[in-house]
Amino acid sequence: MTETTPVTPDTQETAGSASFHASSIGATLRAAREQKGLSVIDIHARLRISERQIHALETDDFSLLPEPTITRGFIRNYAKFLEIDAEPLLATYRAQMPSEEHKNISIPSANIPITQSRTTDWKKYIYASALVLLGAGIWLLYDENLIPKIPDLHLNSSSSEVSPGNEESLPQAALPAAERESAATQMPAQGEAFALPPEQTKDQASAASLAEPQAPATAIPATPPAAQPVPAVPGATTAPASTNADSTSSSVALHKVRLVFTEDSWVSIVDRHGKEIFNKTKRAGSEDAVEGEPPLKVTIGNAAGSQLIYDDKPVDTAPYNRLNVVRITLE
Amino acid sequence: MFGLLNSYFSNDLAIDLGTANTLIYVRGRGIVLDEPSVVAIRQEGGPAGKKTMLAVGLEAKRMLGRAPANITAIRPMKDGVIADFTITEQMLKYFIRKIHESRLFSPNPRIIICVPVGSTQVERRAIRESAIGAGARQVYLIEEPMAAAIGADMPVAEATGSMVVDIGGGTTEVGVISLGGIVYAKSERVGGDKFDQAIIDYIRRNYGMQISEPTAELIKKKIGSAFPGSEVLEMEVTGRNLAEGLPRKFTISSNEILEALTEPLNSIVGAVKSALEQTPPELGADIAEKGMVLTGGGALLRDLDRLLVEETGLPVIVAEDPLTCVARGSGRALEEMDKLGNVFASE
Repeated sequence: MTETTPVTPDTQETAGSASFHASSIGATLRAAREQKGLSVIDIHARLRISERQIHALETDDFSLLPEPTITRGFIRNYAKFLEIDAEPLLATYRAQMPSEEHKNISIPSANIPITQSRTTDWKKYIYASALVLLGAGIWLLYDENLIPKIPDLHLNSSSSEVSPGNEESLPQAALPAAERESAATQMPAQGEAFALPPEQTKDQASAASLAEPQAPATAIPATPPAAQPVPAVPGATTAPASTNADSTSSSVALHKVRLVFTEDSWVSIVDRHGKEIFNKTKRAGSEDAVEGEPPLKVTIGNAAGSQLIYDDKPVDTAPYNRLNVVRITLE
Repeated sequence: MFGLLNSYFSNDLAIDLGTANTLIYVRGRGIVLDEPSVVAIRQEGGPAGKKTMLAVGLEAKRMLGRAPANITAIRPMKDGVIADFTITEQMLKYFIRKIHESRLFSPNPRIIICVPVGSTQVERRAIRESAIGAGARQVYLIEEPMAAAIGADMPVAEATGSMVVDIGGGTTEVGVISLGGIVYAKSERVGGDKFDQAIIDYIRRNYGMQISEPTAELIKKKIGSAFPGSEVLEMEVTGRNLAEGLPRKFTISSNEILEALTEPLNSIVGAVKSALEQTPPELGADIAEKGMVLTGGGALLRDLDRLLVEETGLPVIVAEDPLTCVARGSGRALEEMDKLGNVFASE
């Protein structure tokens, strides 16, 4: 750039009055052409440079000419045709136009991305994967928390004799089950071993059956020698008895449990072998009876709305009532 | 991390792997190597013996046509593409080592390499593979008309048409370039080699003399011309008389050489004309204004520009230093590699 400054006034001067400067490119070319007796048309016919461009060359008006690399070529060709040395002319030209040496070879870009479909596609994938992850998470939670209860319910329904009212009241059956669950978890905290028997009977139905009688025996006063059931027994003998003479024929005498419901309730009875012999949801005002080998583990949901009669003797369930669920073992 | 280390230890290269000459441009240093693409191979111990490279480049070129039976001087490039893959790879490896001489670590450069516009996928792949085989970390291909136009300092990135005719050793590439891309390109497998071959054939036919390729090249450079000029040049040539089988001297004139070159020159003119026919009119107007630029060694053939002026009616300019245009153009692409994307050719 520093080299250009002394030259620029010179350029303007020559552009204005080319003929006065013998050293200027245009003047040199023109002089050489005239000396050879050639016209601009002759030059055009030979070099195919347009007459307009030849005039521009001869008047040093480089703004009318193409980019420097082409203009230099024109000067070279012109000088070669006129048989004069092109080098001094080119040197002059380079001095006049030094800054335009290197053309940009990369296109200047506004860099505005066209991203119509691309981004939405990505979003779609992101949403889809998030949805899948969410689903997987829910399934895992469900798997951990709910699955253990479902076999419980299924077991209950399958082991009971299916009564017409049984299926439709399944959702209600879940409620006491849940209560039972929460009650069971509370109990160990209170230091009682009572919670264990129902858990075991549920999960390890047959395996634990032998150990069961002892477990409640140590923990609960309601064992055969204890007086607990006995005071309840003489209270009422009103319940109508359905006879079961056949039961005596088996090795262990069958005992009869009768249940009278004043409110909707749920009952589960497990016999000596750990088999659930009774599991039903009962409507208010109904009653039911079942026979089984003692000890019978009876669980009654909504205990306030039910009455338990064992071998025709009403049983006082109040001491065994926890959160409106009664768990009692009848010997 | 590793790439950074690599780029520190090895300079990026731009290679004009030509049929006649190989030029290597090193980033930041310019053209550092310009050697003929010739390899001399010595066969040791009979036809089944080990082969070794005796010489590469200028030394090997001196052996062309002068070697004994167990030495063969090979030109591994033919018609702008690889004719002998292994030798090309070895030659490239040798050249790359040569320019990295003083380095402690083995060079592992990024390489821009020129390919003819008319080369097939297989030929391009071969060129790429040979560069990788010679130790390139990454290979970029650039089409020769593009490199030539950049090297001739034409406004390739502007919205104006530029026409370049690159006459190399093996191929003639005609390209019309605008907005950083090739609008039209045509590659004709005619070049300096075909000129030499045409001279050899002409002399055998008309004089009954056999001359070698180097002699033909010398004739072309000294008195060859593409257009009948005012003065007739003459040259004394030595060849082998086919009838007698003895070396004989004879004199040949530039007009005869012009006659010999008619056929290859016509195919160049044909390629240029067909490019002009295929060029969109808007770009054609730009080209009529500026003319076409000749690059490559073929542009040095006397009055070739004159021939094209007469044939096309357009101004024709011979680029400054036409022999190195392609190498300089690829070099510039190399310098601005990180800014460019669309200049490089896909496979």
